[in-house]
Amino acid sequence: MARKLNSREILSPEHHWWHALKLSTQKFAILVSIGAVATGFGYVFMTNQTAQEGFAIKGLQQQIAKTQADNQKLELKSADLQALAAVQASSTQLGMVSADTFQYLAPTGGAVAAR
Amino acid sequence: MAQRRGTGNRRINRESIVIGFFVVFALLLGLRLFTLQVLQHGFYTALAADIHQLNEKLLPTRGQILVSDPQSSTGVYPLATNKTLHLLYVVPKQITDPIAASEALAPLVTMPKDELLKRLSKANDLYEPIQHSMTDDQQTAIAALKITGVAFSDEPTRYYPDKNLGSQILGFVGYNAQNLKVGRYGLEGWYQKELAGQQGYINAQKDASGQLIATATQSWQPAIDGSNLLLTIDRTVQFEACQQLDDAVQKHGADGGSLVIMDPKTGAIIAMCGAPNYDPNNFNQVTDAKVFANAATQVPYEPGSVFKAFTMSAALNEGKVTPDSTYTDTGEVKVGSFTIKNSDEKAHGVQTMKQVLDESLNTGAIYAMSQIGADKFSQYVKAFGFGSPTNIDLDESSGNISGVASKKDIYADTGAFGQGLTVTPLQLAAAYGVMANGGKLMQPYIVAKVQKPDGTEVVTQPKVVRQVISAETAATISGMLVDVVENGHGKKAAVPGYYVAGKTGTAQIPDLTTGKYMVGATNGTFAGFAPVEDPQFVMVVQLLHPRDVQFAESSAAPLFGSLAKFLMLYDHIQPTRPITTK
Repeated sequence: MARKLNSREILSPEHHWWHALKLSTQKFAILVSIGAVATGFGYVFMTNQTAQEGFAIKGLQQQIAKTQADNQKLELKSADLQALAAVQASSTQLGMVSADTFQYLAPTGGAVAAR
Repeated sequence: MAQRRGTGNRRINRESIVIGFFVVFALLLGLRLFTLQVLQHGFYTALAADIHQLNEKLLPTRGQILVSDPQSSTGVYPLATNKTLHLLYVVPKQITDPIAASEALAPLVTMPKDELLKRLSKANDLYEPIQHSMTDDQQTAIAALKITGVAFSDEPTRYYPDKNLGSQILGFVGYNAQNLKVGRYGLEGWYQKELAGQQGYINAQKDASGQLIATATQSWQPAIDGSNLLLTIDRTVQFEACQQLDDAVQKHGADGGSLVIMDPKTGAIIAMCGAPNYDPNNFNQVTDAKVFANAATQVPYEPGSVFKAFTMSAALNEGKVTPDSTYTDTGEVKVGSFTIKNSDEKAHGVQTMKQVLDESLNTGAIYAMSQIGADKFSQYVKAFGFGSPTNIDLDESSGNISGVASKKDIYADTGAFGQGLTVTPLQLAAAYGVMANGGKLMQPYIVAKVQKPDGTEVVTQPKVVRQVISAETAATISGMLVDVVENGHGKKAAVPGYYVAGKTGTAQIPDLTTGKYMVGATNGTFAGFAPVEDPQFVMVVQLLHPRDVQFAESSAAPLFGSLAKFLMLYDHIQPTRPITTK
């Protein structure tokens, strides 16, 4: 039956689990430090990436808002130009002739185009 | 010894001073904290909440009112839309030189210079509104002045690009008693709930820089935009009809007028105008609020002889008369103490029912009514839709047929030729539609579909209210009304190449102060439809108290004829007989 370790033995370096990986305490500390630094850089990089995307989204949102505002202005301008009073006012300058006299042509049997 | 004692006293004094200083400082600090945390607790709690809490209403975009427009790239044209205008305001506290600022601003605003200077000179004031509804160009011009303390805020505004066109159909957006923007009159009022949409809200927390804290508690409900309304109105016909109505009102010096053009087969309104009207963009400049009411649906009047067509329809439908039935016109009919005469005050002798309509004989209309009796006549008047709303999606009056409904002889007699009862032009149009539509009364409607923001649509289906007269009677009365236009008083409503059915109505105007009819004052109406073989439109035109002519055949009938001709050309309706100009 295996002997139970007392607390002093548990805390002693030779009983640490990383000894199973045949790593010295010093090497393990270096690896942990490298890991921490890498994680830190990774975190900073990802945060930066997210922030950049956020700024890009914000920029696009502003662009959309501006485009929508411009679109609304153009639609209003278009509506103003299409307003019948405006059309009538400008059509008088075209010198068009009223279509009061016209004639409907009744279709006749056997009519063909002459050419 | 004495010297040491003296040194000890000085130390005690210095310690006392220091201790006293700290005690006083602590007391002052305590007092200040008491003031801040107890006395001004409410203020600072509110201030902190304002900094950290975001409680905002999310406003929906009001739905548009559209009409079909095949010429437009979108296929629709907005009769009512939304526009962002700007409110110009100043922060007088920030204005260092009010005189110079008012000098610079005065030419660009409508406010008088003195008033402007007065507002800009309120030294400790933080907000003074100067002018609402400023355009982008006006904003740019003022911003270019770069005056510190002059600023703008956006104002969502309702905009009507076609101005007066259809103003009495559209209504406008104004303020209610709670100072909230709501639709008033017309479709803006009738469809307020659908157009307005649903307000949303956002409750969240902000950080020191004003950004939302994503992880903090927050709740929000998005705003739901209003629905769009697509109308049955044809914008070109509406424009032409309204313009011709305005011209006719002006030409005849009339008090006003109205016009309805309807598809008799469906009840869809093609055009509806009233005169005088107003520009809904500037509704607050209207001096007489009566113009807000839709003249075609809300203002009942005595229609006069256009009503004879209904009396005759009833008698024909009951089989009591035919177009060739005769009676002897003695020129007058005595009812108790009343004597009813023809408009020309002449006796015409033996006349047919066709001639009764052609010559618009009051005695003949009374004869036709008497053949079915007052009771039956009253039933027909109601069946044609008079005395009750048409149920169009607009505010409307029911008119008043209580006299005819009482079945007393005098009211039935005067009702037979359209006096002693009131109707609206829309009721008349719907009732003439019965004759144009094989005897079926259609429910008029003006909104073809409601387009909801989620993309779904509620399409209005044409609705038959009831069969009022038989299809045979409808065809017979249509023929008799064509005769009115061909040989009777309706000649000026004729369109060469087409068979037009219609009837004039020249009605006396009651004087509400004396209770009698006004002398020499009449209202002119013409109601009809065309082409009679396959009616494409039913139209009612009404001119109120034209000054230069007495009878509708010279006021309303020519306007009807002109518009009917326009509609035939516009709809490319082939003529059914040779075009001859008399």
